Amino acid sequence: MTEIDLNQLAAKSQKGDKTAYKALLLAITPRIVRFLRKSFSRDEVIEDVLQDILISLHRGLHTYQPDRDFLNWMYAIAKFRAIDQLRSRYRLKEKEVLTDTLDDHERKVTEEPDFSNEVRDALNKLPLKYREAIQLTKIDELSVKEAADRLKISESALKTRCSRGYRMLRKKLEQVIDEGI
Amino acid sequence: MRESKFIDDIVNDLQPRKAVQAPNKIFFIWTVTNFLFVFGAMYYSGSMRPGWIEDLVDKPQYLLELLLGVGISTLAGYFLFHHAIPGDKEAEEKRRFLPVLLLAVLTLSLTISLFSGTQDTSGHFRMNCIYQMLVFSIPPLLVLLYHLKRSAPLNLYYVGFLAGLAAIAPFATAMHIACSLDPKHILIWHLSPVLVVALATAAVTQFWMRWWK
Repeated sequence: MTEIDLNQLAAKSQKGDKTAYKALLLAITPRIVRFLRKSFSRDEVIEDVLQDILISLHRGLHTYQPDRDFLNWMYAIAKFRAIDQLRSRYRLKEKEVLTDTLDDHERKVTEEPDFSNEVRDALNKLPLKYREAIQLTKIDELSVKEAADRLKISESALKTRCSRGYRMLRKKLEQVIDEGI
Repeated sequence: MRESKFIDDIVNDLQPRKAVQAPNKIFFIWTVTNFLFVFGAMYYSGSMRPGWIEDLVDKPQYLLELLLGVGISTLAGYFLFHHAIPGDKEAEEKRRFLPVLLLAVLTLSLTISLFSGTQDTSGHFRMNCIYQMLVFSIPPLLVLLYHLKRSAPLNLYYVGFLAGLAAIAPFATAMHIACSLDPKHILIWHLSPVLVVALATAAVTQFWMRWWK
């Protein structure tokens, strides 16, 4: 598929043409995967990052200018999201390495207090739709698909709710954790 | 398989969307409207400094300072609207010049304010100039933040800084017409709020505008 075709598909997608949108997403997915293989090696990580990128493209679709090159727009977002993911994975890894190097004594000293009650309280204070999303995926341990089916929403909508819910939860818990420490 | 299902879900979620305005068009509309608002607000909120029109003709330094102020405001708006949407190659290429340019312009403005020997420092301090600047810059700032919220900026600190700058710099420039030309007064009450507002907006934007998560 040429770049001009992609530009046209993107313009049609903005107008709500689902057939064009599906064709567009199917056409760009292999390109994004190829792009991601330069930075990530594991297939499951690539799949996760790919989904994040597709969601970001979906959310920002209205910012695509039909008279401009679609691929420039797409790669700008893909690159940004890939870097964002690399950063967060690197931070996570750093934290894990740090914890692994502590001996048992140090581990005991730095062991986190039990906040399970506080988490439950904070969760109960979230708006219903976010609480349900987190409850089903994290506490009831349903898969994203199962949870989405149960709530009768799309998987991407569920992920959005979870993501917003985590942010709200984090805000509520930060205060509790600060006080606890 | 999972990927295909995911794509189907996204496709089903598609709604018709109105594309954001082209950056050049919205930049033009913003610049004209904002400068009209700035001078309207300044005109109706108090008297202008007597003799400012003569100063434009007689003092090249004064004219230069005003042009610098207008330049900073305009450039901030230009880069802001171009960076509010991803993948603008033209703006990306020019972007590396922006920090240098802004730094140069700000340094020059500060130097002029601090070491000016030609300006009249005798008076016409506009009452509450800093409060006027801060209050008047709120509506344009809200408009810019709304635009950013609708757009998909990638570098939030950067566009936030530009939004703050584009909102308040025109008022700092207008205060050059309305208020005293005392260098210390300009530095403390006209220029430093510009930096404070720009930096504060950069910080706020980082938390409010994460559209991609």
